[in-house]
Amino acid sequence: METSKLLVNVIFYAVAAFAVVSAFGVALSKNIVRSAFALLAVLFSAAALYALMKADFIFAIQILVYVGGILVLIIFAIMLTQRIVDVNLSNPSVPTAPAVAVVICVLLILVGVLLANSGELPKATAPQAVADKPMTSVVGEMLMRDYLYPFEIVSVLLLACLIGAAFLARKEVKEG
Amino acid sequence: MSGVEKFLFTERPLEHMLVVSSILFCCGLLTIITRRNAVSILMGVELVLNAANLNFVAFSQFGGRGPDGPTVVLFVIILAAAEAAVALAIIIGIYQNFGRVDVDAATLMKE
Repeated sequence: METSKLLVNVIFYAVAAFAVVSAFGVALSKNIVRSAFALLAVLFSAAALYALMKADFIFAIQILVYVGGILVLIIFAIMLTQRIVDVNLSNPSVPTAPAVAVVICVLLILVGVLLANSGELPKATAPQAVADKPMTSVVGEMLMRDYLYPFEIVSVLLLACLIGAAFLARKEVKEG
Repeated sequence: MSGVEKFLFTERPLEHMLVVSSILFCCGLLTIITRRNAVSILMGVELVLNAANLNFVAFSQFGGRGPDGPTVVLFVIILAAAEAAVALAIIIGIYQNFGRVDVDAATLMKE
């Protein structure tokens, strides 16, 4: 095996293992702040997987929006709604046997279907869709041509979301 | 090509990505089912959305499906951000009314 292939394999398995361990940390950690930082690790490793798939634009957006926006919002919400000192009470988890059984069944079904049909999956070994030019230009063309209506609707949705969140989170002023 | 080499990531990238995203999806599902804290449930939803995004990009890049996948992922990320903002505003409203963010405790529409 050439060195470059070996390197890609090593990077993929390291990143994937890190993502899986962190995802279990999100699901099972007793402390909600630890859960939030495990989510940070999952988001970063997902970004690394995008980079490995040569999806440069999605890599940048993942870090800008998810890590820079959503995760900061989540940590803000934790800080605003928890008494941080009582860590043991902060994140009650009830992993009941039925819940774990259901999740394990779902995982087995997903992986089973995947392995049963892996012969019919495409066999490409290199990224194809936007291999020859940067993904940003391709996605930009798609947004201005095929996805113009969703693009406009999303901008209206963001405005509505801005107003709605500000309205919901304001302090009620009691009259009189 | 040796026996092991046929099953490594560089030979079957699509399957590997799909397995990773299945595991992430199941962790998100477990979080959603077992947590009582509303913020934790929101984290589970983000995990599930990330798993779906990985699938979109993997099928687009390794499945010969054209550049639609990344565009859809862009919309999913926008919607996730909008959803997180509104959900956290609602969670803060619940906290102001009930004093905690336990989803089992929030049983009333108004005081």
